[in-house]
Amino acid sequence: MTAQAPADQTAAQGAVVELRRFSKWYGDVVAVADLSFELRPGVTGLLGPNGAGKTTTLKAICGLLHPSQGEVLLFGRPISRDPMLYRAIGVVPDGDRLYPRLTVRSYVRLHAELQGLTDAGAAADRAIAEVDMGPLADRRLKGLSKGERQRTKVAGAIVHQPALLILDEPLTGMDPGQRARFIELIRIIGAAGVTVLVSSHILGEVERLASQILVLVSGRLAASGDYHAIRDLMADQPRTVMVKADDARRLAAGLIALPSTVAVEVDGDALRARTRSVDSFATALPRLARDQGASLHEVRTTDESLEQVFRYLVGRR
Amino acid sequence: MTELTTPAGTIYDRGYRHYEGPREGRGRRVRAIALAGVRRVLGLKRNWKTKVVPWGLLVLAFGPVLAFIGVRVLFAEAADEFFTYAQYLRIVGGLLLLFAATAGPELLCPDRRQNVLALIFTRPVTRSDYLLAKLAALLAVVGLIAIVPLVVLFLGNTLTADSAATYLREHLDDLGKILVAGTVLTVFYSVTALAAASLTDRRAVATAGYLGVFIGSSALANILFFTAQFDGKRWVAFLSLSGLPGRFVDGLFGAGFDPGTLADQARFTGPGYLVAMAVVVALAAAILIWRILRLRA
Repeated sequence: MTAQAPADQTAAQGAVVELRRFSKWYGDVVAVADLSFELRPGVTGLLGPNGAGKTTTLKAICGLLHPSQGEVLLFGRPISRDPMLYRAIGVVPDGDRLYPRLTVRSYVRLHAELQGLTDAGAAADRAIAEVDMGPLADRRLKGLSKGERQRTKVAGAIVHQPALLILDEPLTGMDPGQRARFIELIRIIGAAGVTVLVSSHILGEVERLASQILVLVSGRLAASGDYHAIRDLMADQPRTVMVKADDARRLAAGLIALPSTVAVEVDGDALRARTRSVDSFATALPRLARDQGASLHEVRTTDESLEQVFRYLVGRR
Repeated sequence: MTELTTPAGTIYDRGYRHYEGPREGRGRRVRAIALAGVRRVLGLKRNWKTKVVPWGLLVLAFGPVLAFIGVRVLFAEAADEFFTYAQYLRIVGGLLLLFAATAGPELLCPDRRQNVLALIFTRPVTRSDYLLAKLAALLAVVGLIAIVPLVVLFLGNTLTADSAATYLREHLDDLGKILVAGTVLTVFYSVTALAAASLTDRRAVATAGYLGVFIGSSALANILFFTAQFDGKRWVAFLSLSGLPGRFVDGLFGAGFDPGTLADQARFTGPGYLVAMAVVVALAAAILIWRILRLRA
């Protein structure tokens, strides 16, 4: 089998990754149940709260665990029967999985050698440059920031320019600048025809990374498809806005009169309002505060977290 | 740099392409892990603290040999063979035990402790590749102590003898015995040390456990032999893990056992101890394979 065979096969068959009724359980605990989806070239986000089954799903795709039931196919084949499929896959596992005493260059080079690349040094240098780690190439991993270590892991995963790239919580620990550059890199890789699967529990991250998303809740697929379409489907869900003001009680009386407000709860100098329209709430709030002579100290939505999205999706099931 | 403009935005084509070049085979992958292991065990490209134990043991293994050869060169008449190959192998046996006890855990434990197995096993590396590479790394470094100093000693004896050709002719079988003994000891200590290391992800626990079993088994064998009365008690000689290599070496070189010792009274010969070592290696290999194949990344 040649290195490019899986990619060729992808072009011919379409789905790079295919899960068919995949289930995984540990004793009596069901981690993932009856999961089916296909991945094609481009960036897909895998979303889910802790314990939703994201890592189990990623591990199954990577061949690190066997399905209790169902099938996981990569390029049309089960990875457990063909370890050479790893030549076409790049994986960035979660957590700090690195040899701390290696330098960035020697770490990435080791992965190039494990992939059997003939010019491992050149491949390592190219991958290090891709993730903007060139100036730090000779630094030991233990002296790097978390974001720098994440980028090094990514360099190790893309050193052989894989057709399928799997990243488990890759943006953890990166500063905003690093995130922006990293997101750009992932988008470039996706645009180049690579199938990229990125897991995260932060909605905002995935929104910037991927247009297609898969949402896992309690080991089941709660939603899949275009991110914005799913978000629009959830538009009728009331959202919570937290406001800190001088006179929260008086402000609450004004807010409850707004047609979009569902409920208001006051706690000292803070109030929580449930609204069906964040936009109209945001427009009305400053005017109301000015009319009542109240100073606003803090205004933020509290349920943008994925947990809330999942709660909503679970409620719809 | 090419720009790809789409209605949704602009993406800069930085030349990302699938790798379509040639790939090397299994040997390259195994070699990469093995070399990384050798570097790790010897503390190469790491701070001085990681070098203290391996290089200290290497100095102890090579030091006497080099000193002896130096004395032979400088004071040829004064120095004779002041230790035999069997004696030197017994000294080296102690060093090998310490070396294997630290190097085996160093090779296996951090991979689990630092959670890097997922990185390794999502590359085209099978469990058997991994095992082979780790074993190759340990065999290489243990062999460095078990075989090389003795070969250097043999060469030193040959080159400083009155007639190198005569010495070589008369002692060629010693070279064969050195290679056999060195290889057997290398395999014995390497496989058992890796088996011990495969049972825990803590280096200190693996090292202490390994040394404890070797030293404890020797003490137990002696206590049973000299204090208990039962039929066939001479077989307890095979319980002493730390005693097996030395007795095999003594038997191989025909050195004879020290009078009054367990080995002397048990009346087993070198081949008996070789078989016992083979059984221990087989058991250790079974544990090692079982543990590595069950590794979860």
